[in-house]
Amino acid sequence: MNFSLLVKVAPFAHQGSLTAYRFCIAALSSGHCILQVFFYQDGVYNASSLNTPAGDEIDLPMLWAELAKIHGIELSLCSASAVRRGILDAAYAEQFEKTAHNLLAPFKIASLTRFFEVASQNRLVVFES
Amino acid sequence: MKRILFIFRNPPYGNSTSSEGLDLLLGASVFEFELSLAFIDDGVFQIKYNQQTDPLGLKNFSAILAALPHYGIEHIYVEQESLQKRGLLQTDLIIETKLISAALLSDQIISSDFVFHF
Repeated sequence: MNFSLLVKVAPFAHQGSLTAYRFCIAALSSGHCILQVFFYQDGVYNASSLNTPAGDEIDLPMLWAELAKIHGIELSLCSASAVRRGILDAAYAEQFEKTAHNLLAPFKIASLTRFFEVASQNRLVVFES
Repeated sequence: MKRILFIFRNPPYGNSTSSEGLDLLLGASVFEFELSLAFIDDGVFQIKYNQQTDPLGLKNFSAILAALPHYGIEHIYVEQESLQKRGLLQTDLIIETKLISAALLSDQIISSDFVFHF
């Protein structure tokens, strides 16, 4: 089965992002496909390269990045959600004349159109608390 | 055609949930989906007439909600008990809505391919 995920909450403050990650691991190990994880609202904080958890805590952005590289999963952020919260790639930083950018590779800033294109072809699971 | 139901249950201001839910709905409206929207709980306040956001310094997005029938949203529901409990009538609302009971709304949830809560 092919899944799309929508993650709406921040990685540290809520458990939802970690649950989404664990859902991916469980689905992949059962032979399912995860095509896209789309980050909306506070979910975009999962993609900050500046997240700095304490040494004995989970670094979820790094775990997402590793998972995506191994399994070819698309990690996309809603552009409006991301730029409002200060998650920028180099192109947006230049466009808005900011001095820094902080999007962790291979996360990408994308559009809602991209989300619906992929999600409408799959099972969608939403993580929101 | 995919049937998508949006459920808006939060008041319009105080946090960004409602306006970002509306953004997702507008994003969906460019596709050939069958879209429905239901206002429940404090979500009914989103479509109350005469919202004044200037004193808050916040953007008033009720004009966008008022234009939703032009975005191809097939059905716009208001859960009737939510409206009654808040002392509101359908005539207090900025868009034409269909009253729906909680039981019938749950049927709508079951018959939808995707449901988004905001």
